[in-house]
Amino acid sequence: MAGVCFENVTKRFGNTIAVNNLNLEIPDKEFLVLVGPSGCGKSTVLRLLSGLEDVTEGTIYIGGQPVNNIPPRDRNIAMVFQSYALYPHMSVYDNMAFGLSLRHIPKLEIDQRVKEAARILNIEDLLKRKPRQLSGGQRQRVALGRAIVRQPVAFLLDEPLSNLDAKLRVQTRAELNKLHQRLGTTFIYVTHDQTEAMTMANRIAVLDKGILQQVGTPHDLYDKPDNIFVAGFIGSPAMNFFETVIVRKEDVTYLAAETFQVPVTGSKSSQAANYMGETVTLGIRPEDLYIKEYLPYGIPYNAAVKVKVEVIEMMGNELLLYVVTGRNHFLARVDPRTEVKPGEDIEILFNMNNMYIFDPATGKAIRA
Amino acid sequence: MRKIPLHIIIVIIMLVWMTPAFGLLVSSFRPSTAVAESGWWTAFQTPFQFTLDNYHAVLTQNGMLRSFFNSLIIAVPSTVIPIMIAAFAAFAFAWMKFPGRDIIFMFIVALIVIPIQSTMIPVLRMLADVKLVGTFPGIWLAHTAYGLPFAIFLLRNFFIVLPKDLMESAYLDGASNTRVFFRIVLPLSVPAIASLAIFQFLWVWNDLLVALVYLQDPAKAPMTVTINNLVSSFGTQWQLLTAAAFISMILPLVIFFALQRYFVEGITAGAVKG
Repeated sequence: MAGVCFENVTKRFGNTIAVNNLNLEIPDKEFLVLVGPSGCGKSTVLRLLSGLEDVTEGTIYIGGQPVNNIPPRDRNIAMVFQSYALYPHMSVYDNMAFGLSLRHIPKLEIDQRVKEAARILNIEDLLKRKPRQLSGGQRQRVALGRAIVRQPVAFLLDEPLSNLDAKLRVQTRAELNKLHQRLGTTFIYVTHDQTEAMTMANRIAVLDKGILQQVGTPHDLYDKPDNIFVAGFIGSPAMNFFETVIVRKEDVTYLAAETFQVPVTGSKSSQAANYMGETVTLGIRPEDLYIKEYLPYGIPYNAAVKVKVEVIEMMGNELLLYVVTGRNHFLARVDPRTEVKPGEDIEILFNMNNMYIFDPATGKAIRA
Repeated sequence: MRKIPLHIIIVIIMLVWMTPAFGLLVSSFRPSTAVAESGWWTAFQTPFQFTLDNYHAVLTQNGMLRSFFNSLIIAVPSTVIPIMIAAFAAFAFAWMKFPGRDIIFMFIVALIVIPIQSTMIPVLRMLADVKLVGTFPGIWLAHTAYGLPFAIFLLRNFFIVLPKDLMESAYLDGASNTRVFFRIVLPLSVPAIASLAIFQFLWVWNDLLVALVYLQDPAKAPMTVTINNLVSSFGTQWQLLTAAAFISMILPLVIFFALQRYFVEGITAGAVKG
């Protein structure tokens, strides 16, 4: 088993920089998720690691050894493709055994490994079938089985759940987590779905336009986003952003938006003072906005904003309120017992302990 | 219900097209006197006068049986060799990266438009220089060269639409290009290769000009050359000519009906995708 390291890795396709000076270390046995919007370079990173693409600059290490000049078949990594890439003319057994037969592993051992992987994945009764006779979920398990039998130092998974329906996706997420714990191998998982990232990862690496934005635990990325991109990408529904100016009134620092102003509390106050009179971006998550009647005990608030309700979405366990004040449209997740109607004027409470301030020029979070 | 008129029209057209060939077939089973005296449509009136003598005469007295085997000796290698070479070339053009790949492929495709007739004299000279004129290897080479551009074009266009993930998965599994070709690409390409085999086999089997120019040895003449000679020697003996023609059609018909599924797939599989 081995860790993986990207050292100043850049990949260019002509004039396009797909991966820009990536520095990322992935310890052995970690479940790391590469997440980002389409075209951010996350699949390219996976392909560079697998050897299917060559790096333009920099070095990739697997188990401490540089692998830039090592062909894909000799890197001892296994990949699960988004399309599963099962060989349609081979049975499930032959699909799983193919890689082992190429390496001249004895037939008895091949048989043992295939059957063991099939048992782990609960596909023992599918071994004689062809891929076209399998459902999407079964094909995905065969693709995983094909990777497991190789006993690689790292598993690379390129959006393996994207072809599954929502219910199966949720089920398979849990199964992949269990598989990771069972195998104890490094998993590097690519997805554009931040929910998958948050629920599966030991750590998440967020990419945008080929640049690593932040890497950390799901908790870190959610609570301490380094910049406005990560803040807006992690968390569903996404964080609300407001253009505000930092002002001071009667020894209190405020963030003044078009139609409201909210005080800056705690340590953020001293940081905000450095931007006095300047425009900054206020960020607050929908779940940190409340209706007064259902404000949970112990949640402080120090800002009440008058808004008009535009749209209401009943989710069962919560209510999503699309509201507007001035030119600011934003979203609040409130108690499902809230009784409001579209067009009604209400007050939304901001939990200012959980708000974020960003420098609009650089996008970086302003914090102590 | 709305398609019934269309089906009726199709059946009528089919009957019109088949009528001349059917007439020739009937004539091939009639004695010479009957053919001289009446039309083939009268053959179904009593007394019936069907005979196998025409086929017997053609096969035993005019070398048609030998020509049948000559046609096989020419057509089979002239089908297998270009397909093998084209498959290797097509895989390289579709999945391997090398300098000038696309330009070389365009050049090969451009060769399709060159008329065979314009190449015959130079090719004949080249074959003469290496003493292959009048030999089977010589004509195999000629048919291979003439068939390769289209074969490479067809197979490359088929190979290139195979999912890239399959190749990459095989590379990661440890396969070399050779293993990917034989274990992944070829098994998945059976429809395209079968349809190409039909195209090439039928083209070579029915060829007259290339055999006339490059073989020049009556002992090695294929059926097309032998039938061509029979036209002048038999003159108006339609019963013998039609028997000879249908003997030459037997094998292509068998191949076509056995593999017609691949023929239809092949038309849409490689030739029109790019």
